[in-house]
Order: sequence, then structure tokens, then C-alpha cells
Amino acid sequence: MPKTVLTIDDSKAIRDMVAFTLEPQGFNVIGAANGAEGLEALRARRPDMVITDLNMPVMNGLDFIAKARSDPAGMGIPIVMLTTESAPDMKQRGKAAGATGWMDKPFDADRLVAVTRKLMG
Amino acid sequence: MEQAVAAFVQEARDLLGGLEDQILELEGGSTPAQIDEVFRTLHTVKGSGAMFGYTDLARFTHCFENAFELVRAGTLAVGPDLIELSLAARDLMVEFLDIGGDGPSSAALLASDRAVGLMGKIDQITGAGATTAASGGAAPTAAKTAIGGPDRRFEIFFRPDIGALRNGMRPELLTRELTSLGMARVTFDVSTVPPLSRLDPGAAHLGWHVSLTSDCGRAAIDDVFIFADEAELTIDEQDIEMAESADTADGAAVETASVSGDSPRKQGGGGAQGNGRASESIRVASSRMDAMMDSLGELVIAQARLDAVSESIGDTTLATVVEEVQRLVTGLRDATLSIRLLPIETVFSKFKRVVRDLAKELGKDVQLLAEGGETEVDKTVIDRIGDPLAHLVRNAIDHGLETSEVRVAAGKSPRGTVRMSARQEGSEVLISVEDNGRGLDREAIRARAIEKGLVDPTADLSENDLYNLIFQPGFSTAVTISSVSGRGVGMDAVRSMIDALGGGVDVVSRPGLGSRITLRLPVTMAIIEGLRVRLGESIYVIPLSTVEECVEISAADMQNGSGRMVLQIRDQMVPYLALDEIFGQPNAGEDIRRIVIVRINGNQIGLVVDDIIGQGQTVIKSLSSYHRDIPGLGGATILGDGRVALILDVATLVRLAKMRGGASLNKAA
Amino acid sequence: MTSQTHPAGDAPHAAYDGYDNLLIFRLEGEAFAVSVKGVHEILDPQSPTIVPNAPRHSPGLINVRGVVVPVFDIRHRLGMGAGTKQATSRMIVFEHEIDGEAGRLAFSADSVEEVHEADLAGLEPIPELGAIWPQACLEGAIRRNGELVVLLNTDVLFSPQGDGDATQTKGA
Repeated sequence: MPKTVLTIDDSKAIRDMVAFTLEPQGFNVIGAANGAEGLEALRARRPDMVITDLNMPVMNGLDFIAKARSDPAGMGIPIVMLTTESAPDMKQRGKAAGATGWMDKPFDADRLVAVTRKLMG
Repeated sequence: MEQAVAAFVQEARDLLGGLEDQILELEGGSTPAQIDEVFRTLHTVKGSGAMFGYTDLARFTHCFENAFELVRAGTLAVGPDLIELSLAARDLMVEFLDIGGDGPSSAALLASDRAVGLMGKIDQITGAGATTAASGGAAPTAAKTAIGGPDRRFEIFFRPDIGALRNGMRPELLTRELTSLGMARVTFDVSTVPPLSRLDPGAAHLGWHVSLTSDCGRAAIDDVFIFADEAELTIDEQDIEMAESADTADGAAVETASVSGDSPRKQGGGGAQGNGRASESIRVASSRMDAMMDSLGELVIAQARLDAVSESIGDTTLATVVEEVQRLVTGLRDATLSIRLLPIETVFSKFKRVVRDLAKELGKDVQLLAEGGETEVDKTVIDRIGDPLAHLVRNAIDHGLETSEVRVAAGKSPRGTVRMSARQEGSEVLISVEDNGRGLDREAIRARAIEKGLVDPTADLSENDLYNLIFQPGFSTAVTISSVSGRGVGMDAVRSMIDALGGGVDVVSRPGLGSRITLRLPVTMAIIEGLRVRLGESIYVIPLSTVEECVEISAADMQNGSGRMVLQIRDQMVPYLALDEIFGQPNAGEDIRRIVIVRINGNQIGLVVDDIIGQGQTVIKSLSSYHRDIPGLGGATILGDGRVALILDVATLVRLAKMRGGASLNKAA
Repeated sequence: MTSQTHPAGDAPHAAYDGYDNLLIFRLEGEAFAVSVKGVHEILDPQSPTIVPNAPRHSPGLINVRGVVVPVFDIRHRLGMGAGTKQATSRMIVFEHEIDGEAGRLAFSADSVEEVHEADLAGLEPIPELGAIWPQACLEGAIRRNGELVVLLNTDVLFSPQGDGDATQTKGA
């Protein structure tokens, strides 16, 4: 039973990159373009892990994380936020909202796989 | 992945197309939402660009993203300069996209006056000092760095934030990650687990102690806990080598002992987290540890005496208590001895430099591999194993490994390998030095041994016997005498050092493939299991680890041996030594005697004694210089009745027996 | 049980500037002395464990409160015949550095008399008696109650090499 990873990003390129990197590693990857879509996908598809951008239209990543953590579908699963070194306080705010970890952008395929394995085993 | 890149390029074009309009809209006054949009566009172009092979674009975009970040934060106003520059920058970004990713053209564009000028101007507006801040390329992946660095001990205590499990942390994955970095011992701290009635199954209550020995750097450990920033975390690091040298400089003889204790229980369950850390290292002066070992030794001896007394009284209640005390003493002994154990890496790590320098001196290309550095051995071994290992490593590089030209001609890789490894096997630690060089030259060894009169020219020597000749005093087959080895003083020194530590040496060699010399040493030096035997009125102790079996022999059988000191054990001929004769003690003339069959270095011999008394823990006391050099004696101990007994040095006795038995008896080996 | 180690080889002549406490004991009726600073304790005689192939001057080992201590045959070193155990016999446990290692040894005396404070400035060379004992083992003599007491040079006396029989002799 492959584990499902939800990638939430307004950039299709990032979503594709996540998918193309993790699918060969045996993960099932689903995408959403913003926090609101992400929340829907979380409830409908029950992913095992979420990778979410923070800066997104409609519903940003912080709001998504906070809402996901108060939802049964999002409790206890690893949620990784995509951060940049230009906004260090976002890490704290994301962690406070309930993020499990973060990945600084830009990241490469190795880093993505490493973080995914780190948080899912 | 190409699809993802294509998706990025398409997306970036769309974004940059939109960006032009967004910037122009700013001219008439801006809302936070508009600023946000511009920032997000630049942010995406930069972030994704770096990931999809457009790092020059990312670098260029960075300073503009930076500017709009400041605008968003309200520290920079949108002025005509910024709009002008941003528009020009946007056009250049499109050019980067047109070039099609990183390469010479892209680099040239980034270095062009136009690009540099734009970046310089925007930095003037933002006040950023340099244009170099953007990190190009990908973030470095988890650093499992510095393989072969010196082993360090990390005493790690980790208690996740109480809500961490809800937020997706899985502590077991962290401990697994630590375990993958080296040798780890994981224990739990349950002191903050509330009673069942108040237990919240979704909360994190446990603490983890991890005692890790690893050659990875501190950074790799930190990396494991990178996401656990709100957890209670302490990482105590000990560079054993450094710690020692620092102390030596102070003139104080201190050794590093790592003691990881169970966590002290806290009163009242919940408790403050501050004093939750229970696993820490203490440094203890050697003299204190010696004092502790002395007391322990006396305790073990008193225990043996108590045993004897209890047995003679024959009271079952007393016997039960004595048994309990015995169990506790054994536990105390093991715990105390474990404090004396240090990872052998402290010795291995010193050889990197030795190998490097020696390889250079001899003009050879050599790599050193070290394995099993986490294997723990007694401090005495650590202190004394350095010289023997140095001899073996020098020999391996000087005699074992060929020059690159010779190796290549023989179809081997030009670079030779010396592999040092250690592992524990039962109560022994095996330390090997292995090379993939030319192997020992059996014929040269034989010729040399005959020349030196060490063996009979007609002797039919087993491979093992042949190799063991290299440990004979004065033996050297080196054709040229180099400054590093070949003086023939090395290998016999190795042998006597190992003998003194109560160990043995094994040699394996294959022509053209290499040699491996394995030192077998007892894990603990201070207390061993011993077999007590009687010889006349005297009691001797034979290290139990060398004993294979005990057989009875009648005096008549010994007489009938036609003068040859050989015994048939099943289908094997085993040479034996009459200890009374070796030790110049009068034979009591007992009818039935016993032979203790011992094996060391693959050689089996029998030791004739009058009786087997029993076995038990033996505290080794070293002999003074009055008696240290007497062959066959390895130390002394104090028996349960307070008498002193001598401990046999089996390795020396075996050699004595072989010498007496002559080469014709080597079948037994 | 704590032992004070006295580096016996530490500039012995410095002591001669003044008074020193000496332990006086007897062998073959003669009075001998060693500095009391080196004396760890005095024990009733014990039968030692014989060390096979041991040098003649150090034939065995005894257990002194959990420490294995070599027995030193001071009579042999001084050229006396084997003694017999007497009711007054004692073993003197002496702190001594052997080949640079601090350690203890034990030797027998026919009797132990007293601790005597002596002015080492009054140390005399050994007169004609010197013919009997190896000169190197002797520091000199002091007078006590009109009797000559021979002060032993413990560094030489207890040396593992010393008397030429340090090479192992067959049998114990």
C-alpha cells in the first residue's frame, strides 16, 4: 500500500517536481494549488504526509496547517512547509501552527527524498 | 523531471508576463495585495528557478525579491526608481528563460554590465551590501560528513514537546536515524509519564537517552534533530582523543569514562523538565578508578571466601543469601568493568597520519580503512595496543603493499588498502590489520627460518606454523632494511606485547591477495574466569577462555609414551607439558592425574596437573618485576581462602611445548 | 588500607642531615635497621605461595590485605643461611620502588625490636664486619646502647638484579 503525499503549491512546476521525484520512490503524489484546495484533498484523500508552500493565494500555508491540525485527517501526520531563508520567522510561525518540519527553497530531489524519508520512515 | 522543467519554464513565462502588468499597476499607487502578488511572483521565479536548473536566473531575481520583501514589510516605499528597475529586470529575466537554463550563455548574461548594473542599483535602494546573498543551487543535503573522522561519543537526551506527536513528529524515526550514524544505545526516560488515569495517549511523555559513538560530526547529529527545535534536547559531545591530550597538557592523568546512568526518578510524576536530563558523562581520574577496581577485586575475593564458608556450614538460608550476594557482586563487577571500556577508535584514529606519512615516505599509494572503531576494549588494551598495531601497519605498508606500478602490472588497483578492524567475539576482541598486497612469501619465510636454524630443513610445516615463524626473535625476511621496518625487531615485539595482555595472534595470507594479522585480546583485563587446578600442594589458575576440555590420565599411560610427550585425544595427537616438571615441583606421585587441554593461536596442548579444583572469577594481580619475566606465569590472584595463587600464561606454555615437542609434532596445530 | 608511598630512591643522603626514625630488627642475632618511613606494617609470619623458577632472593608471594606482595629473602641477599621460624619471627612489609614501580615487598626478621630515633650524622663506616655482608647493601652503622646497628641500603638490598643470582635458578 503506497503512502500518499499531498503537495500544495500554487506553482505547478513545484507540484510536478514533487510528483516526479517521489513517485519513483514508491509514493503516491496528489496535488493542490492552494490551502483551501489542500484542505479538501486532505479530507477526501487522507494523505500520509503533506508538503505545503506558505505563500499562496486564497488560503496561505499557515492557515492550512492550523486548520489541518484541528481536523482528524490532519492530526499526527507529518506536514512539511516550504520556506525560504529570506523569511526566517516563518519557520517559527509554521511550527507554532503545527508544521512538523520545513524545507528551504530552493531544494533538490535528494533533499526532498531525504526529508520525506526522515519524516515518514 | 524534464516535464517538471518544462512546466517551470511555461509557468515562469506566464508569471513574468503578468509581472509586467503588476509592476505597471504599482505606478498609480499600491495595495498590500498588489505588492504581495509581485513578491510572490518573484519568489516563485527565484525559488523554482534554482530548483529547475535556472540558478543564474534565481540569483538575479533574488535581489528584486528582496526589494519587494522590504516593500511588503513597509520599510521600503515604491518609487519611480524601483518601478523602472523592476521593469528592466523583468525583461532580463525573460532573457534568462530564453537562454534555456544554466550554462555559459546564462553565466555571461549574469555577469553582463546590464545585469550587474541592475543588481547594483537595486541594492542601493534596498541598502543590501552585496549581491551574493542568493544561494544558488540546491540546499546541501543531510551531511553524513567526515567518514573516518575520529570517533566521538555523543550523549544525547531528547524529550519531544508534549504536543509533538499531534504535529507529526515520530521520535522512533529520530532514534533510528541516530542509530544509522553509528553505535547507539537507546534508553527511555519514563519519569514524566503520568499515571494511566491522567495519560493522554496523543501526548508525548517519554524522554530518550541515546548514547552514540560515531565518526560523523556534530553537524550530522544536529541535522537529525533539525525539525525538533522546540523539544528539550541536549547533545554532549566528547572527542575522546582531544579530551585526553588536553588533560595530559595539564599534567593530570585523567581518563575519559563515559557513564550513562538510568534516569533518576522524580517525585510526583509530572515534574519540571529541567532536571529531566539524567544521561551525562563524568570524567574520572584514573587513580579513582583504580581504587574502585581494587575494592571490587577485594569484594570478589571476599565473596569467594563467603561462598566457601557457606558451603562448609551447609545452611540453606545462608546459601540463599550468599547466592543473592554473588549475583549482586557479579552485576557490580560487570558495571565497573564496563566503565573501563573505551572504543578502540581512539587508537585507530591515530593511524590516519601514520599511514599518510609512511605511504609518502615509501612512495606508495595507500588508503586506510577503519571498521568497528566502536568496539570497546579495556583501557589497559587501549594504552598498550598502539605499538603492536603500529608495527603491523608499518609492515603492511612496507612489506605487504606493492608500489602502484607493480600493482597495476599484477592487474590490481593502483591504490593499496590497509584495513584496520575490530570486533568482539565472545569474551575476546579481535583486532585485525589487513592489506591487499602481495601476501607473505612462504618460501622466503621457510628459507629464512632454516638459515636462522629455527626449523629443521626437512620439517613439514603447516601454513600456520610457517607464518608464526615471523614472530620469532630476530626473524626478518626484508631484503632491504628500510627505516620503517625490516629490522626484525618488530614482530616478536608484537608477540610479546600481545602475550603480556593475555591474547594471541593469528595470521592469514594469500599469495598475491594480501595478508591479515589478527590480534585476539580479552575484553576485560582485570577479572577473568579461571579454572583452578592443583599441582602438588599449590593451586594454579588457568584462564578459562583458553580451556577446551579436561581429560584423565593414569601415571602408567604417561610412562608408556615412549618418551614422547604426546597424547592422543580422539584422532588428534596433542603435545603436553608436565607442569610439575616445568615448574620444578616434586611430583607427588599420584596415580590419576588430569590433563587440561588448552588452545591458543590455533595450537592445542595439554597441561598435566594433579587435580581440577573448580572455576570462578579471578581478579588478576600483576606480578612485580621480581617475577614478571618467569616464563609461564601471567599474574597472581587471591583465592577464597586468602592464599595467593599464580595464573598461568598459556600462550608461553604452548610455545614452550611446541619447542620441546619439535617440528614433528606440529600435526596437532 | 591507604598506603603512603615513599619513594625510597629519593635522595637518600638528604636524610643524613638529621635524625631519622629507624626500625631495628634482628637476624642471626645481629641488629639491623631500615628507615621507618618505608615500613608499611609488621605482620605475623605467613607461609608464602612459592613461585616456581623464581630468583632465589624472591621465592614467593603473600597476601597482605588483598594485595599480592612478593616475599624478599633478605637472608639470602646478605649471605646468611636459611633461617628457622621462631616465635618472635615477624614479616616486615616495606614500601619500595622496584624498577621504577612503586610497590611493596615483605621480608622476614627473627624479631622486631623497636623504633629508634638516631642521629644519622653519627653514621659510621662498617668496620671489619663488612667482610661478612655484601658491602653495597649497607649504609653504615650506628651505635645504640653500646651495640652496633647496621643500617641497610634498601635500594641495593632490594634490587632485582643485585647479587648475581637474579638469573633464574632451578627450583624454588
